[in-house]
Amino acid sequence: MRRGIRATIAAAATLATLAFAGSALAANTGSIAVWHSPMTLGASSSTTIHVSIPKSTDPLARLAIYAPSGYSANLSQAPGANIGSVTATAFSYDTQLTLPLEGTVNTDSPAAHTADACSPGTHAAIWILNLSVSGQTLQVPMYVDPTAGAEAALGAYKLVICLPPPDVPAGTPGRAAFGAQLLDAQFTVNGIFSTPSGGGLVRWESLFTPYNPGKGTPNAAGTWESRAFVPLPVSLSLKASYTKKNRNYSVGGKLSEGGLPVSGVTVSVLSGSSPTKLVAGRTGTTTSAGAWSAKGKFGARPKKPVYFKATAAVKERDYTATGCQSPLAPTIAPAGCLSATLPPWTATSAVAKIKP
Amino acid sequence: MKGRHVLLALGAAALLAVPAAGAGRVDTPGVTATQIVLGATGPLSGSESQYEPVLSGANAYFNYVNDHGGVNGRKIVYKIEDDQYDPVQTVTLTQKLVEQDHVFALFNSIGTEHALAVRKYLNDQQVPQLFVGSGASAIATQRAQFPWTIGLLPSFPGEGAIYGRQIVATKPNAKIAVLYEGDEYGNELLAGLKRGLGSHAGQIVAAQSYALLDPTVDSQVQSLKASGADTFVIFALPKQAIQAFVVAAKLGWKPTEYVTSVSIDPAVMQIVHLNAGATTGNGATSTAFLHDPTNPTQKTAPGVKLYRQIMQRYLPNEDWKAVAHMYGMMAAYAMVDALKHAGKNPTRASLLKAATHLNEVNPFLLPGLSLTTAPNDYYPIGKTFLVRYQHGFWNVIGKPLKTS
Repeated sequence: MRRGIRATIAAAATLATLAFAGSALAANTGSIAVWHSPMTLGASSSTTIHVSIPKSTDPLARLAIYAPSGYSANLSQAPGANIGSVTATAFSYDTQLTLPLEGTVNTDSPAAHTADACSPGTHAAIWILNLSVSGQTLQVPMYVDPTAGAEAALGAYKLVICLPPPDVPAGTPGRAAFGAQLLDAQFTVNGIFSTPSGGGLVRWESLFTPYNPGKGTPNAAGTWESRAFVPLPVSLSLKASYTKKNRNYSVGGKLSEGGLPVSGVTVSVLSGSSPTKLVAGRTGTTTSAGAWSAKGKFGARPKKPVYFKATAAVKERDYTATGCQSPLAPTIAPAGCLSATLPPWTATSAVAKIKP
Repeated sequence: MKGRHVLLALGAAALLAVPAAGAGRVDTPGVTATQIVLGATGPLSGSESQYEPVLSGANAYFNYVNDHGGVNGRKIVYKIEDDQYDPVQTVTLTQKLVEQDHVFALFNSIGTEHALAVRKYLNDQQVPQLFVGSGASAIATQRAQFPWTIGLLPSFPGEGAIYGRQIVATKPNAKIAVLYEGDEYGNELLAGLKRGLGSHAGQIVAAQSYALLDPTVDSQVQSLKASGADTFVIFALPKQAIQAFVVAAKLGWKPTEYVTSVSIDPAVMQIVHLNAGATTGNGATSTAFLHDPTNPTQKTAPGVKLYRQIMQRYLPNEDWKAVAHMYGMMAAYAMVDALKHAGKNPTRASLLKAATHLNEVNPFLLPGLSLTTAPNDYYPIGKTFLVRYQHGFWNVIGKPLKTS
């Protein structure tokens, strides 16, 4: 009996130790996706960055995002300028609720942030993410600079953000408001970045540094790499033909991203008698070569030209197996490359016309 | 007896007015040839800083008025002190505003307990304590003793009574469970509910209170569900109201739900849906007196247009969806109205007189409501609407109902 109790106590102690260590040993993960509107080459565009971190991952302390070489950035906005918007969700340890946050992205004076602990010094630009919920606004600075030295190998520009620890006891100085742990954030900046002139899968690097759980200290050894591949350009071509004899028409084309074919995607065809008044009709699905086609028959011989346009959309996709090959050196990302993504986008073709 | 109180109140107001008449031109505290200085306390930081937009919304409206010429040529300066929702700090900071900053009046300070903590001091000093963000009956009914203090929110007991009458009218056999804050605010709503239920008050089968510092209300909601109630009345601040909706949904409890008007900011249901599914809270009933800037059926209302214009101009980086900003502007509109009617050379007494004779159509209130006061009526907002949460918004149902 006594032995049984001892064994039970020992087992319980072991379980407790494991449970205590569990969060520190948890398999951290997180991802980043980047896309533009439009997804074209050499264009000044809006840029959206989507960061996703599961609740089970240790809270994020620091995130550095690198815009690849080939991009240019206009960082000359006056302080206070509205340059975009942000939406996010965060889990609040204080309320045990997931909170929705949203707001604007504004520039701020770099001179006001030279002593910020996250990234001391003078920066090329400071962007403030205004994250509001129910009238309360958390202002999170993002530090933006061209890269230099060895860091230039990671990209042309660096965007850095630091978050306060959420999982330290309430009342601890510097603790996150609401005890909020970031789960997901998507922010868009307009007219800042211009896309490269050369096409392909352009790689945005990012380095995620988590906190040591419950301690409020960054876990540098836990830093991992995530990659966002931006396929440029995204292209959907469209050709239309018509056989008067039997009133049959045929439309088709190719869908590609970064010069690579996109397979298994539904292409929706819109048609109508005016290029600005088109309604959805037939659909086609892309082949492994990215080709798609659709056929139809007019009920009566059209008396006026008929216009066609095609659209296709894809969601954010996991690209880790391919995209995380050849990871960064362990001195930069000790925890390795944990995720890679391809972004969501919507492609729209030019308008094609058939004559009666 | 009631008439005697009215006479006493009228007499007190007259007495207060006499010594100040004509005396304020030169040395009325907080009034110069170019400005009027008002003061407020509230939680600009800390756990209750969710109420900060009440102050910033009011300040934004003052900035708007200042940019349009001010009040009788004077700009309004609004000094806001951060009391972190701690009544002890409220006392210290209010004294600072009066004795060091020499404010003309206290306006729009936040918190019932906080207002009561400085009420005697301000009345002793004959400093107007106007449009306190509270519907506590102590503020409205003790006007003879504290004539310089006027609240703004509709009566808490009156709001509770509306829910009671609505339950009797729509579900006379309801078995009612109540979650309420264990302080004056919650107790007054609960008392009002019982009054509205009348002979049906015995149908309250369970009532659970919570303390502001309780991390969750999980155990209270579990207990209320176990009572077998089919109607759930939530007299709680936003955080606890959200938790109540979420816990009820996660327990699979689907009662008819009522929630107090302080917890119908659009963000409340947004958070509820994020945590408990998009249909949670649908059909819930509350009361509202303010426009909801997010409700598409109200977006063309002049008050909403003005609100959006002011938010865009003066608070471009703050959350325009937060109804607390609208509340702050509504209060500031009433304050400006009172200042205008206090005369070209206002005194504290003339301001009090104006504040107790308001009769305005306030653009930030829902159409059909007005903001009125009288020396014997210290509830400026005497009516409110029932609203029901449907299709993603709180929608007005029926006609205005009396709360006082």
